[in-house]
Amino acid sequence: MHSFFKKYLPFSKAQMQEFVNYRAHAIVWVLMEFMFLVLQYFIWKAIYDNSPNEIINGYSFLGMITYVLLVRVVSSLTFVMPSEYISDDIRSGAIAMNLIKPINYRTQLFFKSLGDIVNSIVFFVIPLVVTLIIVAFFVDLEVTLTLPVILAFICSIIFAFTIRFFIGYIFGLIIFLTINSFGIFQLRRAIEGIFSGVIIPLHFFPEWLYQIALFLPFMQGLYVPVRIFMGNYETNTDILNALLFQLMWIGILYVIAIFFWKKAVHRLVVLGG
Amino acid sequence: MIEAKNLSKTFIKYEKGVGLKGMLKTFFKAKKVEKKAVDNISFRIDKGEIVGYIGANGAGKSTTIKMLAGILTPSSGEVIVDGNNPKKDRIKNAYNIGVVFGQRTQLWWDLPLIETYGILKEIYNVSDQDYKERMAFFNEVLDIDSFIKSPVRTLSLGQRMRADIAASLLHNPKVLFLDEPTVGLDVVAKQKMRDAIKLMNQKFQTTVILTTHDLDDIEELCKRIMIIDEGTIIYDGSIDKIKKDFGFMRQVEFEIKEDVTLDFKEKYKLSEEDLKVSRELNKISVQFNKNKISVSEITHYVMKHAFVTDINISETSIEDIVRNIYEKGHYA
Repeated sequence: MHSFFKKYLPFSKAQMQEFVNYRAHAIVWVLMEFMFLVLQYFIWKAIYDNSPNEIINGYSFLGMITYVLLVRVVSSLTFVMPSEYISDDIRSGAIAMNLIKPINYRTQLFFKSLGDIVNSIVFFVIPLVVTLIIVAFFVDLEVTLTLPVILAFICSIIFAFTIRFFIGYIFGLIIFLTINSFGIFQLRRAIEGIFSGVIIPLHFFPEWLYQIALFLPFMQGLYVPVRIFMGNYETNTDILNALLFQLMWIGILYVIAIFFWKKAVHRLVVLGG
Repeated sequence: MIEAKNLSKTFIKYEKGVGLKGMLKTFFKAKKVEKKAVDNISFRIDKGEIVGYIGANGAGKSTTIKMLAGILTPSSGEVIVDGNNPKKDRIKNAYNIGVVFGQRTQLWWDLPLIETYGILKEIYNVSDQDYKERMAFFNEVLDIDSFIKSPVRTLSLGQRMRADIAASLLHNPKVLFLDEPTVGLDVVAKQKMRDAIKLMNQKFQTTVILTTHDLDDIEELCKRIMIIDEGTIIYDGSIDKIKKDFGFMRQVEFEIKEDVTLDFKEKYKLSEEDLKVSRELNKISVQFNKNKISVSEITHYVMKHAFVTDINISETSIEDIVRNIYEKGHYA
């Protein structure tokens, strides 16, 4: 176990070190995230100002703003790019350099992604949470936190990270088979945008669309932890069930990932000779 | 140490149409094209050997190396590297091999070079003692301390290649695959690379497979060479033999001002194999056996009869030898 971490932690560390080299990139990224937040604030303000009801689909305006902020926090805490890494590795041929090392490619990507998460925490989540706390002093955000909720939220975030990692990884492996990554990325972005809850709460969907979302893994990586934090699950049993459901998805995705890896690695063509 | 039996690799490519119309056609119905990159090759390499693996671009060298390294799955046939199947036991095999691809790097691009060695030390579980000793050795041979603190992306090609070979040797692999390790390097850097390979081989009995287009690399390092062409090995044997058979050919190119008739055949009375002349307007190209005639004789003869504006003397390149062998369809 000790040597396992010794072997793979350098990948996380390298990722963090490399990020520091691109300070400008980090600053632009943080700015973009905040601009996106401001944009969403005004969109929802316009919607609520023009609505006859103060509560839409169970969300008050403040509830919606809380949702939007939490979505930013959770998606930054689970933001992973394995499919981008795989695509880069295929394009540049670096995939070959990865396969000659005595390391598992998936585990390596996982630890690389962990490094990315630490970067997000330092550069984005911490400033955002500080903002959140300051805002909470002035306005009454619709969250009541209890210890079980916080613990469940932390668990759920870890599961969500793993789920999003596997989703990205599987899409990445599909690039192995198709070589062209652009279409796959567009597809993934569209599906994730709709079914993860990143744009609007899934409860805004018509029933049939919501039912589809329930059968897909995308909401497990974002919507579930957000709803746990917001206290939308009424009993502890509900929370526990949500967590178990996430775990089940990790299992399913793991099996799919193994299957695709076997397919992909046989088809591997190293580009550029 | 390394054994390949009836190894083949076939790539399936989709032929792409030209232009918009062709593209549309391809979109609906792509034509499948099979390409045999490696076609039924077999060889055996013993521990401590340095083997030169040569062939023209696209002959199948890199594909072979990639199958030995566990990157590509053979379409058929078998490879064993130190008792392991490189694809099935990829991770086990990876501990035994070191790889340098001249056109890629295994270094962490944005980090100071020393970080790469730190990471590799953990990946391969190299002890502190070994790490220190080896780094000292690399510095001695490859002089890497002078740039070890610089980010890899700022290194020159020569420095990067030296760093790369050190990286591939850090875990003291039993087998070293070098795919064009000296491509694009200057003379000094090339020499350093060769020294490192030679020393490592002597010190640890490292088995080395080297692909290159540089005849000097081969001459200095290898006793044995394998020549591959269009996926098949057309020569596998000692370098002395191939040098004796082909290395004596020289080529002189003359550019002359006015047209003159020169009859080399008549003057030297040599067979087609020892003297070959081709003419192209005001260019005369003479290929000859340097054991039979000297360069000075040839140039003297031409300069006496024609006004020469330019001369270019070159050794027969490995590619010429390969082409020569291939044109005959067999060796010797």
